[in-house]
Amino acid sequence: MVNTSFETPPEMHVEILARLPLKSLMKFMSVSKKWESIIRGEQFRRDYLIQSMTRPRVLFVANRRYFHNFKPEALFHSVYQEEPSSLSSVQQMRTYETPLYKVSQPVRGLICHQGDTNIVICNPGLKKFRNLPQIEVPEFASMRSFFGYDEVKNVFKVLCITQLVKYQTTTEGDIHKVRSDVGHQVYTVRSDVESSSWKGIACNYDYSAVTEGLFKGGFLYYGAQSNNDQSVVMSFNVSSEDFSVIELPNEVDFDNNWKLVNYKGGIALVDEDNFDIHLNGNRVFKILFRNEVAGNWEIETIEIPRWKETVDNEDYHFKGTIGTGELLVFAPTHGTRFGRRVLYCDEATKNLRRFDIEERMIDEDHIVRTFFDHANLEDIGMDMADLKTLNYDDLDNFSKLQKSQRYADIIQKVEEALEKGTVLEYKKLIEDCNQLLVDIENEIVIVHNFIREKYRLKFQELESLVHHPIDYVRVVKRIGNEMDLTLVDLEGLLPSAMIMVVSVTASTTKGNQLPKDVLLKTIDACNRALDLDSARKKPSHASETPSSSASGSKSVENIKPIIPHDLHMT
Amino acid sequence: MSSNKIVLTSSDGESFEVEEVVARKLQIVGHMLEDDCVINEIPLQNVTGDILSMVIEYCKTHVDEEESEEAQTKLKTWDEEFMKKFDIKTLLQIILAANYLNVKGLLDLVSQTIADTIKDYTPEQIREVFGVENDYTEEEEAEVRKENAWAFDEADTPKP
Repeated sequence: MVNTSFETPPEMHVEILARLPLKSLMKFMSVSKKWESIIRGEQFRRDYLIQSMTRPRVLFVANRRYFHNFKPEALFHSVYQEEPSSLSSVQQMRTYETPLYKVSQPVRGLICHQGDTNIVICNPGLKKFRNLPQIEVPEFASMRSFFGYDEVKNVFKVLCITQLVKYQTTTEGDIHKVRSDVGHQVYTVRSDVESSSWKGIACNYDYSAVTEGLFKGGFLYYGAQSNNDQSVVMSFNVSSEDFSVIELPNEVDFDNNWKLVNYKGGIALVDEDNFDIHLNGNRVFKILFRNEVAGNWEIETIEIPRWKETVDNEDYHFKGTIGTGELLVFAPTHGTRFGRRVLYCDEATKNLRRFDIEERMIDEDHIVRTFFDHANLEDIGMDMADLKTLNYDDLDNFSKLQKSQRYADIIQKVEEALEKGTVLEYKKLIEDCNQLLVDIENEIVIVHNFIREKYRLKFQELESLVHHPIDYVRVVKRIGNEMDLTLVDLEGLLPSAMIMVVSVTASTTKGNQLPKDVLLKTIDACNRALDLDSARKKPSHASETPSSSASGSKSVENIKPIIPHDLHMT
Repeated sequence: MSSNKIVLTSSDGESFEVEEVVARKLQIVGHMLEDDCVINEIPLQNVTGDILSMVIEYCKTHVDEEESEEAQTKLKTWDEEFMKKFDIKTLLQIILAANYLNVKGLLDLVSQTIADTIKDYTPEQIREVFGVENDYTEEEEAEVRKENAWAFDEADTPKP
């Protein structure tokens, strides 16, 4: 029956290829020129998109709670939403290139994440990343970003809100938050990197953003607090870039625990901390559902039977509805230890099902975020060829902290403030320092990765011998392009036993000298890492130096422990 | 319901007598029946007997598609078990047959099964299974592979 010379016609290839994970497609481009041209072809990409949208996925985005060997590991794991426990549907991607902090909901296969003031758009299916240009953030301002898609012009956009929060001391000595200006900027993600830039846009409302965003039907929604402390929902038309305010019933008072969810084709608000488990084991909670037709909000009480017996005491959040609205979905609270589960409740039958996602690579050390309705697609906005240009060659694409104004300012202020600080300034400054220390730490990780990537050509084994990033960097800098390690003095950089091991390994390595430009880039990166390392020590030392003013030194002592000491280099 | 029987004949001369409702699941047959109602024997040129028997087995099972969740789940389990019987080469013959006979449900099922089976294949395995000729020069192939080097990285792929 089996005929080895049997050939399948090309249209069948397309039928099958459209169902493959992106990763396999990338791999299969090397099957033949014909296959490559099919996969790269516009028609196929359109078919692939449609196919992918008909089978939405649950996407788990996981990162380690603590940096592991100083690597910001991120895992993307997705399964078919309709059958989460089916192993055959698993797609997985691991990367060390992007630390995850705030992660947006996936929009058409892409996610946007923000770390400090860096924004990265990522296609987890393609393992491609694009760093957006650094945004102008006023000094000490906070920043939030939201990710959406302009369905008119077929482009992705990032809305970024900067907000300056000032503190004021009352006569009683209380510290008050005083809000001031909000700034709005939009970045349109075009394939042509040169012509894309941040553009300021006007908004006539004065508010501060509170909740995470929800992108739905061309609009970005997020919960906010108006200047007279009313909770409202802001909506941003991604295409026309206009804002509008949706008012809420007076009794609603937002905090971080409120979430916007997709609910039966509309939007709903849910207070994640506010639910009851009844004595009969049912979970009961309320949502505020936006009735677009009537233009009002309706309170709906949802009762999920057999909650307690299905999930015991585990903490799940309501994530809205999927499909045509008949399935209510829940995912574990962000940061809990059982992140690989989802719960589906059929609204009509009240049948509650729990799915445990088999996954070895995500363990208890991971923080997991769960997103529904993720389409796995190669999008229109950024094509493969374009994304390829985002390579790892220029460190400036990745490492921006040192060049930021904020970095310079804080470092400078640390020195200044020590001389003449007041209580309040100290507190604020130490908060900033803490944040900066975390950022520096992350930045060192990025630079370290960059150096390893380059130096592998010369001495691949080194990274497995010298784990500590700063030690590694020092050794790389000292060795440079020297092939004969007996000529290099590593004394003082490594313990003598380790120097021995490194020398012996170096004599057998397959590596070659780096080309001159690569070497220069690598050494430059080393210097950068060492600068960061010494900068990291500054705020920590500063906070430990006794101040001349009595009140000042007292407050410093009180506040000192909030600087994470495990970040210090020893 | 009509208990009218129809005889389907494969390219290698094997005949299958099936109920009309089953035969109508093959849309190619459905169209023929609409054009002319008196046909009761249909020759199918492009499919061999052993493959046709699989297609008929699928159609018989799917002949009444009940809406109820229970029935759907049962059918799904049956589909999964059914697909497990075949190796990749047989699957590729079934997909051809499903395409030719125009059985939508089977086409989807087999396409997905094949995709799930081959997703971790190497390009060499793909060429062999699909009978695709490698028209790259050695340098060109190395270049394409380099571009997508990460996709060959096994560490990302979970072992089932």
